Amino acid sequence: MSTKRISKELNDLAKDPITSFSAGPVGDDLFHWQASIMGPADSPYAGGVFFLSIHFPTDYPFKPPKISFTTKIYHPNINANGNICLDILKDQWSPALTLSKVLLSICSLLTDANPDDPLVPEIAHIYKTDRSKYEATAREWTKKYAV
Amino acid sequence: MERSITDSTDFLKTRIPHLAQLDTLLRCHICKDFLKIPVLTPCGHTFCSLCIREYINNSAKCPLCLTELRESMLRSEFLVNEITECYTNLRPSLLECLQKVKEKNVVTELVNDSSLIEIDSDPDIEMGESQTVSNDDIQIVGSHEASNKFPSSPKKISKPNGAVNKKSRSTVESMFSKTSKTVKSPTQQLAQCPICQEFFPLRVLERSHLDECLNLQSLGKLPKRSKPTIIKSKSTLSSSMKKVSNSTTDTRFQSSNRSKSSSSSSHSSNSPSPQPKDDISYVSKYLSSSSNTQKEERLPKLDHTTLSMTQLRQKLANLGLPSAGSRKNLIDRYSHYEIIWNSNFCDSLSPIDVSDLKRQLASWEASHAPITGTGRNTIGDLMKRGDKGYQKLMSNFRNDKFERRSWIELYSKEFKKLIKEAKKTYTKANKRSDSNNEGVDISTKANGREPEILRDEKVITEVTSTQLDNPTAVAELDIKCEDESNTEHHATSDDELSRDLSQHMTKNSKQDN
Repeated sequence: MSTKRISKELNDLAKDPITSFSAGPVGDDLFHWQASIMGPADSPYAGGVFFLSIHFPTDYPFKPPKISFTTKIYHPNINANGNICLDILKDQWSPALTLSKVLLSICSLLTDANPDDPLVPEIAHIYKTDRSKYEATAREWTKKYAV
Repeated sequence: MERSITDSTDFLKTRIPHLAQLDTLLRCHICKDFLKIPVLTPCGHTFCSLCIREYINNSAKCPLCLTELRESMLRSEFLVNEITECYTNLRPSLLECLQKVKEKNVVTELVNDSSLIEIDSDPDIEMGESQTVSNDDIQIVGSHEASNKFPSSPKKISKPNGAVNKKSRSTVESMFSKTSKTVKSPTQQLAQCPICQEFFPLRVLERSHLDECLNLQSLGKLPKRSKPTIIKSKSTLSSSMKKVSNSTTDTRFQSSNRSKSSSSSSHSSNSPSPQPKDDISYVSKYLSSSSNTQKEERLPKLDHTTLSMTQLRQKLANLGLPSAGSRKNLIDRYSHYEIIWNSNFCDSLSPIDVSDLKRQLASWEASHAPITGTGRNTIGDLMKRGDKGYQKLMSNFRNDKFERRSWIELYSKEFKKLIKEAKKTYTKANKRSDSNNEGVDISTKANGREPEILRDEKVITEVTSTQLDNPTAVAELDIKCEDESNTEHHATSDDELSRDLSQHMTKNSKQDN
């Protein structure tokens, strides 16, 4: 079932593309995808393009896909390895979700970080106490790694 | 092949883009495919029985609203089942009709005109019932397609109904409004004709029938004339009254469409989609669903933690399942069997046989086993290759809707190689039949590809069931195939041969079903 469901999602993306990101399989392996997200305009990541690597488990959609950033990004919920702290990628996953919904959530995570459930406490601390410093650093990293 | 990945966006470029919503609504949110044995959750959401059962095996909540959900809460939804089946059956023709419109505009316009002339200007011509009906078909097609043309870009048609009416009034008022009514409205106002005393839809009466009747009366032919018209109007009425009004009109619509377009395009023969089966009545199936009694008890869930290996094996053996493998294998096998069993016997309207369930389980295990590849196993190598065609087909393999023919076409070389290998081992074992074999081999090749395909098909059916790695089994199969090709060899002409083949194919497909 997983292959069918994944190829269906690929089909959906091809037929009805979403402007803020693009995604597709790497080579012939349907279970390994990569995606690129445009930094949202109303965030310090604007102008950057972030790459993500996506692995579908064999029992997808019963288990969530594994998604991580391959581009370095300065964000309280994304660590240096690119791991993302997002509830729908963990315990809140539902098979009714699709990859495009997940990627859209990641986009909105870039706009609105969640410092109360941080993956990188230092960035979360700066985010909470000195927002302008956080934004400046995020912009700097975006320029350095994602443009 | 393409049918495996249908998509609601297929409708976005047709003239009724809103059908995409209907298409989406009839899909399961887990597998994103059309609902298969739909079940209803207490929170009001519908999923495929298999999908939701497999999901709540791990986490007991509804995938859509995350409320608590247990297996015992699921209720089957026979109506949705029939609706979905009806729709999926109609879907290819619906798409076809809505898409091919632009190409056929000119043709239909012509046909339309001629049909109008026939009916309107010459009511006196002797017309049999069948003729009248066929004309009716043409009108329906005409009204559909003429109106199809009108909104050429999908964005313009926010109100397709209005568009239809406008267009039809402006061209040929009476016929169009009548036909569009027969298609669209479920109920019609009836009125009695003061002349022939028969009942007609009000519009028909006003616009055409009264004139006809008066004409006929003046000619003194009234009683005979009235009959075919009545039957015609009755038939349209009853069809629109039926709950499946859409299906009936659409299949008619499609068949007439086909007959016209068969000369211009060969899409009907090309499309892999099955023809809608006219003989299946979804309504009666639904109505009879309540009387359906359960034959089999539902299988209980196992508490795996407390069971020992021997107890597990015992359980599986009691169900007639293979009891080989590791503890995890056994548990997986039982829980999947439990899911498909309960889905089949608790939720399905027409449960399949236990042996079929076991076959499903076997194919599920085969496709879920880690592909380690023994190296010697040729088919294992093929699977490891994992190109796109294989992926597509394999996804169906898991769903037990495996398309053998496409698979064979994809891997015809390898299968031929396999057959050769099997033949070698076979000839070694029985040297007596050696010369015979070769003769047959050459003759089948001379007869073209078809017999090869048939044989391949045989082989793959059996090979998959024998776990793909038993050379003696393959050899045995080959003998069977040999016999078959022998009999086919006797058929003298190619025509006969192909007829035989098609018979075989249908037989095979019936067995599969």
